[in-house]
Amino acid sequence: MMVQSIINGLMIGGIYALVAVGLTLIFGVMGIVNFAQGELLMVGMFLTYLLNQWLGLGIYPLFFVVTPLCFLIGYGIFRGLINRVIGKPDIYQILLTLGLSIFLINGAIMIWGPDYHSIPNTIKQAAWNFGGFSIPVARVIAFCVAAAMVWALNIVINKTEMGRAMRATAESREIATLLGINPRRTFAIAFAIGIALAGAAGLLMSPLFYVYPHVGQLFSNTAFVVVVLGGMGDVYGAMIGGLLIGIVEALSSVYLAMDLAQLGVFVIFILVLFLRPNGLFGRRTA
Amino acid sequence: MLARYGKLGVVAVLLAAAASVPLFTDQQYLLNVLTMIFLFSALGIAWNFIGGYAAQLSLGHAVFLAIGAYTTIILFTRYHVTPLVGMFVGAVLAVAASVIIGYPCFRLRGPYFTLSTIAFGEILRILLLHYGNFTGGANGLNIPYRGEQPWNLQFDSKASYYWIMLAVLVLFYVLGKVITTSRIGMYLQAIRDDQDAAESLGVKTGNVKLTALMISAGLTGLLGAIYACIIGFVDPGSVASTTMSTQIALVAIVGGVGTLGGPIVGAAVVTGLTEVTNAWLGATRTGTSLTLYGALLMIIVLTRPAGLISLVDLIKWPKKSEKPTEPATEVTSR
Amino acid sequence: MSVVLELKNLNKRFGGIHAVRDFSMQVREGEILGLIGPNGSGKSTTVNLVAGTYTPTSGQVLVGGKDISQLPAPDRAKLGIGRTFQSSRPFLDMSVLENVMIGALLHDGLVSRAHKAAEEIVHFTGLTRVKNFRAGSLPVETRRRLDLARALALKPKLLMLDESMAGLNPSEMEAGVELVKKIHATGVTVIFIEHVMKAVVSLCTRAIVLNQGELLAEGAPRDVLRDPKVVTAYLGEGHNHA
Repeated sequence: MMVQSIINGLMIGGIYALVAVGLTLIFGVMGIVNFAQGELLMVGMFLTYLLNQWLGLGIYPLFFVVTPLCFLIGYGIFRGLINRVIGKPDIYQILLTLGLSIFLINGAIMIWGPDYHSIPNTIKQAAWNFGGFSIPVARVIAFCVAAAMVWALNIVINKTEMGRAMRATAESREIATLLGINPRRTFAIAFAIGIALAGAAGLLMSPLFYVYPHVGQLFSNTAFVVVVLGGMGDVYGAMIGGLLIGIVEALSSVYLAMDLAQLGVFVIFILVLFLRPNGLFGRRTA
Repeated sequence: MLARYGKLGVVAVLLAAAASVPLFTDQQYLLNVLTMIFLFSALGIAWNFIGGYAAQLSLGHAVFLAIGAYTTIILFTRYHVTPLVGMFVGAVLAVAASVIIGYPCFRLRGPYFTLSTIAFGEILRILLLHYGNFTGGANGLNIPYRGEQPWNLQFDSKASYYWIMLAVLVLFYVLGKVITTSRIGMYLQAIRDDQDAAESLGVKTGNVKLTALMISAGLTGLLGAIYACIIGFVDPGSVASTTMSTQIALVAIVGGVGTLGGPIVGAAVVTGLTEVTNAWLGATRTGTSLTLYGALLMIIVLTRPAGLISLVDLIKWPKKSEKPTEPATEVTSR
Repeated sequence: MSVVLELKNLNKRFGGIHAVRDFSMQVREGEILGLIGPNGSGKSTTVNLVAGTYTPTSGQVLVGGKDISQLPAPDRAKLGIGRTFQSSRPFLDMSVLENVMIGALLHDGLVSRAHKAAEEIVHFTGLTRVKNFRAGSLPVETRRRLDLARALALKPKLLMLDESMAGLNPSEMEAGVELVKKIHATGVTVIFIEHVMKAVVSLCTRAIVLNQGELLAEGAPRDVLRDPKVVTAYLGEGHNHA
């Protein structure tokens, strides 16, 4: 039972990691805590749902439509909203992204109602069975795609021009400008990437979860915990943190009680905030 | 002289007008809406002690509201303790909770603090849902109406609740004035301006912030008790949710963070919006008012962060003390 | 004459930077001690270590014989240590009087009495004309004066002035020096961190020179400034000294 839990936890942990990596990237590069990250996951899910209905394309093919679309949405949100609060006191960005979160959730409720939808697909039943354990195929695919995206992001961060720009801007905006880097553009791209990751996470989760306006909240609380656990701004930390939290949550639901699963996660959150606010790995922002 | 009495005069007139509303109408709906506006105004004033004056954005105040509400209902319905006593028990428990939350939380700044308040809020909500035997779980608890009992804060007509809430609001406003002009009020402003400079002057910022939180929590707990009596029902989703916390904070932010009049304006606007949208679009469009909240919040942050009450400053009151914003014209050399 | 402040083998590291190295000194009651040295020599770090903004990596800070090295800043203010900031930091949204009241409230929690005490200090430091002005609207010299007045409201035994004369024109500086003398006359021990040598020479009874975190020289200001070691330490900065 325990091993099965751990495997389940690991699989969902991959998704948490994906959302958290986006969140931590945004924080690391521009110092913004995006309270609406979960809602952009929900947007990704709804986009998948709608495109599936209108175009008849399957979930996984839609990955190549939804992810770039979310990138553009993220870029737009940055230029239109986030850009205006960069460098201002914390309270501005908290309230702005919070307002965005409320707006998105309830906008979705207004348009589609609070009800649950699901995307018709055959894959949600399929499961791999081996050695007495069973994992739904959709979870494995989600995990693998998430892992691939994070791996790709690492390459972008470490090996490309834009990645170098993001790392430099994260260290010091002044130095980056001196190096000829345009900080606003770097911010915009980093933000857009962060949103694209969230949207993709939404798509990957759509075979497994109902699509409904509040779905993002399930993920955003956890994503915050992961980000703080891994160290704000630390992409590797977010990856490992995501997997850890996935496991903790799975074990909590088995050993504490089903409805207390989230409790375990929040308690860890509080503990980390107080004991190791720089994250488990104690590194300064990457 | 004129300025002071002018402003005071306007307030007195408004107050008299407000107090006389139930005499001119028995529209229960209107009275209820106004009562809710008063309630949220008071909640906003209480929130401001920590969210505005101490500049620590709490999105977990529903915790204190819920503690006050649940304590009162449980003590009343199960142990026949009158809410007039229950509210103080609730307030004390809320203060205790605030110490547990605040003591560690204040070491965090900015978004970290806000995140931890959200976390505490969620923890309480989950616990309330889980221990259903005690708290009624997802179904919540209600106060069965057994006729008019003023000593138990149970009234027939909405008018009584209206007046009680108005009186409480006035009380809170006065209390707010007293606190903000006291030592702790000045220390809070100093901390908000420059925490390190404040510390160099002997201000124990941790203690001051904690005290502000305790005051905020106690007052919110009291309001929770009143809320329970007015509505007669509590459940985790309504009274312990992040939505409720956000609403409380929203009222203060939209109206004007760190002011006393702000929450009143904010509550009027926010509640007014809810009612108007419900009337226009009907109850089917449940998300509308909240969507507007979200949009409103973003607009305020981007255009008028000082809140709507800063618009009042645009009205030219004759100045009673000199606080020019233009630079001083000469340098004092002695 | 009693020792008001003693630093024993004080060390402060920030990661790889060793800002203060094995610094020991004593400040006697009634002195005006000048703490000078080139940029980056550890003067401000020392002030922060004494005021409590930083805690030492090793070594001790003793006030009146008591080790206060781990004591938080607000408690040190209560003990009678006051300081100004290098770039003055008044509470911008409060008036001059309210700023000073924050200091006065330490000794008297009643706002009305603190108000009175603050009025006296405002008068003493020559800020009466601007007492109701918003601090954010004041020019630099007045802000510095305000910083000073605010720290004075603490009724300090020891007052540390961090580069309070920088950027002032000659008449402003003269007024500043007079004010420090006036404060000193009331029995306050002063540590004067400064670059402007003219002020150091006219005010200080003793001077200590720091260079790269270490004690370089100590003695009467004029002697210290003629010391070849000190001249070399400064020469790279192109400083002109009398």
